[in-house]
Amino acid sequence: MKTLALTLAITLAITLGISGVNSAQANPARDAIVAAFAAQAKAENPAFSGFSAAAGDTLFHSTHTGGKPDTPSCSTCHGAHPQSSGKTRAEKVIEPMAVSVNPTRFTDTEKVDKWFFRNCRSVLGRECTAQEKGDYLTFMISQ
Amino acid sequence: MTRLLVLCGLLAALASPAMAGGAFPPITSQAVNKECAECHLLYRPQMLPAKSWAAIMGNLANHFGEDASLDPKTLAEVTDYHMAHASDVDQGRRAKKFLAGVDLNNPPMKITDTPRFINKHDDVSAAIFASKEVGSKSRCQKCHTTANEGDFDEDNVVIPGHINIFGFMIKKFW
Repeated sequence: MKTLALTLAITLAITLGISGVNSAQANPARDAIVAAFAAQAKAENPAFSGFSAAAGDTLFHSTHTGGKPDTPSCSTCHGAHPQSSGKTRAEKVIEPMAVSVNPTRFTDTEKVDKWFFRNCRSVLGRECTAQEKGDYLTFMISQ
Repeated sequence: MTRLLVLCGLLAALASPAMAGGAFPPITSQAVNKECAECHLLYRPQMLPAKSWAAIMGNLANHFGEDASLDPKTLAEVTDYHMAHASDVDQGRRAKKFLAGVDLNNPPMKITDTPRFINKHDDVSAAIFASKEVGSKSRCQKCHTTANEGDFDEDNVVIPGHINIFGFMIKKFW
């Protein structure tokens, strides 16, 4: 009897644990943000065919030349690994971007818009397209 | 006797903040606390005159090498707070110290260019600022261990690789 109760408890814990992880990954607010970028991408480009984590990976890790000299890449401040924290140039910790380790990432539209606006201009020297923003989010959601 | 002790205690409590230097007054704007501290240590509005803050806040798209743009409402709040507590506006002791010697016709665009910063750091070598552990004059917290609390008192300074003995920095040789 005791064993049965224990087994049940463990099964329940595992189930809850798994569903907990799932709900952290699939967040309605984040889904809505990605959906809004998809709608915008379609408006910007009728041939839009969806977002690509691989393209987001490239965007994140590449060295760009159009922006400010101190910030040639996203990874300059965020670090090379999205699962790890980064540092601003003034040494403030930036929490990891990967959704798996930081489930609240990309769930606040204002915050997402504010930082894409600033950081795309810092790194690329221009605002990002909706395609780029969606690729970036898709990459981070996959991480 | 008890009353006398209480009185002494009160006097000591009143006198000690002035004697120890103490911290800058806390920043009471939520917008300033949040927006500025997302990227860097909270530098104090009392460290620069209003003209400097107006120029800095008016050019956040080019903020010391980065785009730090704010939405218009937040920008107004952060700017107003800095203007109201600037070194030539704030009546506090720390503001006056940071204002001394500043040329208001040619205001400094960096706290590290104020006469007070320069005087206070004239015994710190360029090599220390450039060291791996410090890296930049803007990283106050690397040596000022209580900078995050707005306390830049010399008593709380520890230069990496040195020890602070009664205010004297002794380079570790071991």
